[in-house]
Amino acid sequence: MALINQAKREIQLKIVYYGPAQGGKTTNLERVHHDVQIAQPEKKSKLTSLATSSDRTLFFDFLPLEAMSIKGFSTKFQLFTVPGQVIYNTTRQLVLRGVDGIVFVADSQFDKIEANVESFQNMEENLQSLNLRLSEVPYVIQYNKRDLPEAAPLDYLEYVLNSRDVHVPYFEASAVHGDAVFETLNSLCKMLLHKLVHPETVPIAS
Amino acid sequence: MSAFPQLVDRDLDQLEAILASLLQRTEAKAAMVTDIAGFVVSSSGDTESLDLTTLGALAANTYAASAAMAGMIGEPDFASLYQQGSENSLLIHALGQEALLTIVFDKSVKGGAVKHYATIAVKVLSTHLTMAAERAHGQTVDLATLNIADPNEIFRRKS
Repeated sequence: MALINQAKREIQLKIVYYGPAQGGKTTNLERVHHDVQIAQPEKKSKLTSLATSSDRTLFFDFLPLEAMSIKGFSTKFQLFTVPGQVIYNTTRQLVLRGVDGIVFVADSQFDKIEANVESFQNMEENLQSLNLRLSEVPYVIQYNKRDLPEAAPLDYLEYVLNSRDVHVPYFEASAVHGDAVFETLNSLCKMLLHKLVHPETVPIAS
Repeated sequence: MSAFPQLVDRDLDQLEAILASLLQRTEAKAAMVTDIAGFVVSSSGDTESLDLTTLGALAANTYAASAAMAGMIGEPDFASLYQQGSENSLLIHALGQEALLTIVFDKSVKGGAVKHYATIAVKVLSTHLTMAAERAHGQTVDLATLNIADPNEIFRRKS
């Protein structure tokens, strides 16, 4: 839940990158960390990864970012990833606590469709365990690994993952090349800020 | 899920004063109050050399993981977590349901003293946050000055 500190004129928002194992969640954060433009490079924030020796996320990755282009309040975003492996479900529930918005990173490859669907269902269940409904949480979908030859057609992925009442923004990405990484993040940030300023309105549809 | 209470300048001054008093009594390095998600609300002490933003996020998740483990073994009463190191140690203590107090101290400080004074500080901080929550009940924050007219590039890629 967003922390709005009127006294300090500061807003802090939590974004969680969710999705199946090895879908590119950590790669998204690495690209943001590597490529983001910041006002004071000497104060660049650190990407913290709690990973196994084989670079699989064990608990989460964490990247704090301060937005430069929003006037009026100091606006800070905390970016987290969850571990994708099935056995780490309790960990995913913990990381989702206090979430303001979600980037669902889907793996575009044909043989990962089932894993995407399972992960999406798992996300809904874990939100419910926190008394949250998916319809109340701003989220976007990123179809990652579009550069791979095994990538499924976009229409198919959209039908499988994005055919609910509210059609959410989606992005065709190749996180490893940095394609659409910032577009995805900025789109969600825009939705979060819109919800803060206009809490009574329905989520933004694409 | 209830929200962290809205604080005014006076609240922040008081939180900082409580933390400063805690550091003075214990000679700990730093102390901070975060919300349950790990966002830093107030801090005191060595706030320059320590990355409090990351420490807050890690403390919140570590505390949440330990609380979950406590629940799994049938222990409902879980309020604090003590990480003892050879050089530096950490004490994380719940402040009600919505906040945490995290204290960093080195080996020159006795852990027992930190725990003792932390317990006192927790009571004062919790009382203060409860009062703020009751006062701010139903209060909305004016975000009119938040300029999101052109937020297409909130974060920009380096050119």
